[in-house]
Amino acid sequence: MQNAILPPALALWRAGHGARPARHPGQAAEQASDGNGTTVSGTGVGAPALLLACGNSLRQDDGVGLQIAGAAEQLFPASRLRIIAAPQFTPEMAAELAATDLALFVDASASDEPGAIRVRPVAPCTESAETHRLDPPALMALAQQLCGHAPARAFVVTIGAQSFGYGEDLSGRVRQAVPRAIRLLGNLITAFGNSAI
Amino acid sequence: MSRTIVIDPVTRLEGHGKITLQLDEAGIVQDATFHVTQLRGFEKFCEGRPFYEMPNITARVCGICPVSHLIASSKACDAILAVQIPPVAADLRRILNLAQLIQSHALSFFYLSSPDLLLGMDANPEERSILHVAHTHPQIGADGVALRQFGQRIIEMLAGKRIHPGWTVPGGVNEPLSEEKRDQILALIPPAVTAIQRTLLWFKDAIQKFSAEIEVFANFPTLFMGLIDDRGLAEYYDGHLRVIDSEGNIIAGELDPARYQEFIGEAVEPYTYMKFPYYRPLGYPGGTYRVGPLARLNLAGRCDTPLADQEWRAFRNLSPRPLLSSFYYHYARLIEMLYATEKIEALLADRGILDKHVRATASVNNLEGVGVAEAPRGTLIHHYKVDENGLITWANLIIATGHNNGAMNRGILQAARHYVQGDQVKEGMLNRVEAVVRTFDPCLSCSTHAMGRMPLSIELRAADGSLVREVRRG
Repeated sequence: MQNAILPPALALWRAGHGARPARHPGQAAEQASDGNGTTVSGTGVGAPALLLACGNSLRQDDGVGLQIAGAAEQLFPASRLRIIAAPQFTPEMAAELAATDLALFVDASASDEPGAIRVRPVAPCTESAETHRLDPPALMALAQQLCGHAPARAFVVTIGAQSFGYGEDLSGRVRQAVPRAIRLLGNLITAFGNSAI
Repeated sequence: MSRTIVIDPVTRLEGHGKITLQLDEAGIVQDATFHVTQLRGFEKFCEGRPFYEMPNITARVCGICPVSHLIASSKACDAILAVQIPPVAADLRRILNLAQLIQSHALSFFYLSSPDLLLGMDANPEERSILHVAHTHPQIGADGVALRQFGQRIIEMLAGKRIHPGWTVPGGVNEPLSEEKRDQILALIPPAVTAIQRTLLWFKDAIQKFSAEIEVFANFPTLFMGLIDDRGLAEYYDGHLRVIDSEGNIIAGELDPARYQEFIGEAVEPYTYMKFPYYRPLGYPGGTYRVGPLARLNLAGRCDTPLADQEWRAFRNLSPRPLLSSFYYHYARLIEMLYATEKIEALLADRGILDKHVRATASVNNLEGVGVAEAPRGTLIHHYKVDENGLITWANLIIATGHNNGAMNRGILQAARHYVQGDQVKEGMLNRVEAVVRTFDPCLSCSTHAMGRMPLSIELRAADGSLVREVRRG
């Protein structure tokens, strides 16, 4: 965990929030603060981290999150990382979030430079509610509200996209960003996931 | 001066649609049309592809109903192979289909319609969302989330992933069920049954508040069509098609789904890409029928599982004849979720469900194949023709939402005549007209194979077509 390489801003964030508290087998749900005034309950020992990736694999760079999810599936055992890839973030994912203490949302970004990777912490927030599509803060809020637990650590990882036309191939700079994004996810899992215990 | 009101898009549907209300000179709604102005292309671009690719290609029609397309498409491919698939493969497909029904009905009832049912049709549109339901009615919100997840977890466990799974293939399925997964699914059943029963208890009480909506939400005589088994009970994977009239008379008892073209015609209207299927012997529009949960529970002898049968009896006791108001689709969805959960449990309880022989293999033995199953929204038909090399030469898909098109249009007209008067377009009116469409839970992505997006507005138009007033949201 000491060797985890995080972007400077995240490393600061981590320093401010500390590593996850140690847990013991059989320990029941615990209480902690996410640093934003939201009380969150732990899920007990051993819950794998959760990777929620969304996108459309038939619309070029929009599918980058799904490609990252596919690659992560090969790299991480299910006991360490549960992966859900879907066209969009939907309310029932709240139940999945309630079962983990580390959530990683992965998506393409239309507003960043192609291939640019941005990672930022995310906290529950209800201001972005839609009908059957939610963004990560709203999903976190739903998990908190309905299931009584939101992950203590959650990050949104976005990859700047260039092309949203028809096709399954990523554009060059986005394709080159995929291995970097996977390394970043690995670092986040190492720093904040089960192995941090 | 006659005027036109346009609702564009209709919100909380799968896909995007637009409603036009034509007013006469006295401000009375004269006509209503539901437009689906999206391009349908799957049948055309499938031409030339090997038939065995069709399940995975057509599953891409929709992100909500991929399993339904997988099932119907695989059945059409079975017919091209001319094989009888192993019984365990059929049962595994049944489980997958029922899990799809659960997750889709949960989405429709809890995510899309419960804000109307819990918060009222006149509630602030900003508050009519699942997040607000979670705040005001946390138990119902939690049950909705849990039930959608329940259906999706079963799909994921059987088929490897929850969206666009590829487990169902021509000739059967490509992997048997393990004992471990069976036990994992069985463990999910009891809390799901409890959640559905809790919701039914609430809904049966709450429905009394909606007598006005029941009266005018597509409440008129039509035919009803759906699959039944050999005993006349509800069937979702196989069986015969039954057609009943609004009095409950069986006017066609054992139609062979593979011969659908003999009894289903498809009319076309210029304002929409969605066709208007009709029961051919009665012509168009007289042969307009409804499919889906309400139709299935109206025409079946019963459901065939203990708890669902109890609920079915209470449902049917509401009227000596078939229930005609589409508002009852909501109620029927809950009963079907209960049935599906019980049926999955019963199928998994059979030791044979772990059988390892799950796929029959053959080459092309028929140049044509039809696959029919009950999707959450109603009867789904896939029909392919191939050449001797198995390449698709022609394809036709009739989607559940399409079957309901005629009834949806008439339902919009009925509700609009009741709620819309003059050019005073109020939010509650707008939402009630939309809510009629939502009772059918139309999947416009499926029924038109969507491309593009439309925004929501109501427009008042003069007889010459000029815009008098516009209300836009969404």
